[in-house]
Amino acid sequence: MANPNGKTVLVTGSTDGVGRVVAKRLGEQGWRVLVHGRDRGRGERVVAEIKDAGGAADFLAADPLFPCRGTAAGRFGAAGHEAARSSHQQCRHRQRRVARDAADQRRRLRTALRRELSFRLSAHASAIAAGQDQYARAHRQRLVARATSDRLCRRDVDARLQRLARLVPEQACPDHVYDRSRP
Amino acid sequence: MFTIDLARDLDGSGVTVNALHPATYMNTTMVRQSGVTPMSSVEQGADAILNLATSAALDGRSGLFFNGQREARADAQAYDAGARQRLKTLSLELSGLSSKTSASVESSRR
Repeated sequence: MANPNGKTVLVTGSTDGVGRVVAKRLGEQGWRVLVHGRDRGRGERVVAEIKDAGGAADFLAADPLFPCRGTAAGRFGAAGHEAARSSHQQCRHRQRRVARDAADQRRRLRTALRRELSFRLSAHASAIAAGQDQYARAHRQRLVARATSDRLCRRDVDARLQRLARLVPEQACPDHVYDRSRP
Repeated sequence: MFTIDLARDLDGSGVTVNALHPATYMNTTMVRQSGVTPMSSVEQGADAILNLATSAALDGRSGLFFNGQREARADAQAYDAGARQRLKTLSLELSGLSSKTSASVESSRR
C-alpha cells in the first residue's frame, strides 16, 4: 500500500478506544503511524494489528509525568531533537525543584517534631522528679504517640527514655508511670 | 477555549488547530467505567477525527469548533477574550509553567 505523501502521523493516546481506531484507519490509508500511549503492551498490539492489515507502524511511549522522556528526538530528526532537548531541560528543572521542595518540607517537619519531642521529654522528666504521676504519665503517652509518626525520632525517643529510666531514682518513678521492663 | 488563542498564535505557521466533540458517550473504557450506557461507537468518533485531520475541505481552516462532522458554535464563554485570558493565566500558574512563577521560584533559590 502506497504512503499517501511519504509522511508519518503521530496519533496521541492510540493504544485503545477512539485513538486506536483512528490509528488503524490511518494505517489502512497508507500513512506510517506512530502509536502513542503509556502502555507498551497495548501499544505493540495496535502496531501489530496495523502491520497485519498491511500498514506501517511503530510504538512511541508516553511518560505520564514527564512527556519529554519519550523518543521524539530519534523519530523526528533535528527539530524533534531540539524540541525534546529543551522540553527535557525544563522537566529536569521542575523535577529538581520538586525534589528540593520535598526535602525542605521533610526537614522542617522533622525539626518541628524533634522540638516538640524534646519539650515533652523534659516535661515528662520534671513531672517524675516532682512526683506528679498524672502529668508524667500524660507527657509520656503523648511523647510516645508523637514519636511513632517518625521512625528516626522513635528510635531517638526510645534511647532517651532508656537513659531516663537509668537516671530516675526508683522511688521517684512509680511503675504505673514508667514501665521499666519496656523502654 | 485554548483552540481560539492557539490558532491565532500559530496563524501563518502552516499548523492549524481545531476543537472537536467527536461523538456523545462513545463506547470507550472511560465512558463504561463512569457507569454511562454508551450512545455511539468509537468508529463514529474516529470518522469525525479523521475528517478534521485529513479532509482537504478543511485545509488552512483553524480555530474552529466541530460537533461530529459539522462546524458548530462553541459555548458562548469561548468567545469571551477576557475569560480565555483568565483561564490561560490560571492554567499556567496551576501547572507551574508560567514564566513568571518559575522565574520567581528560580531566583528565590539563588
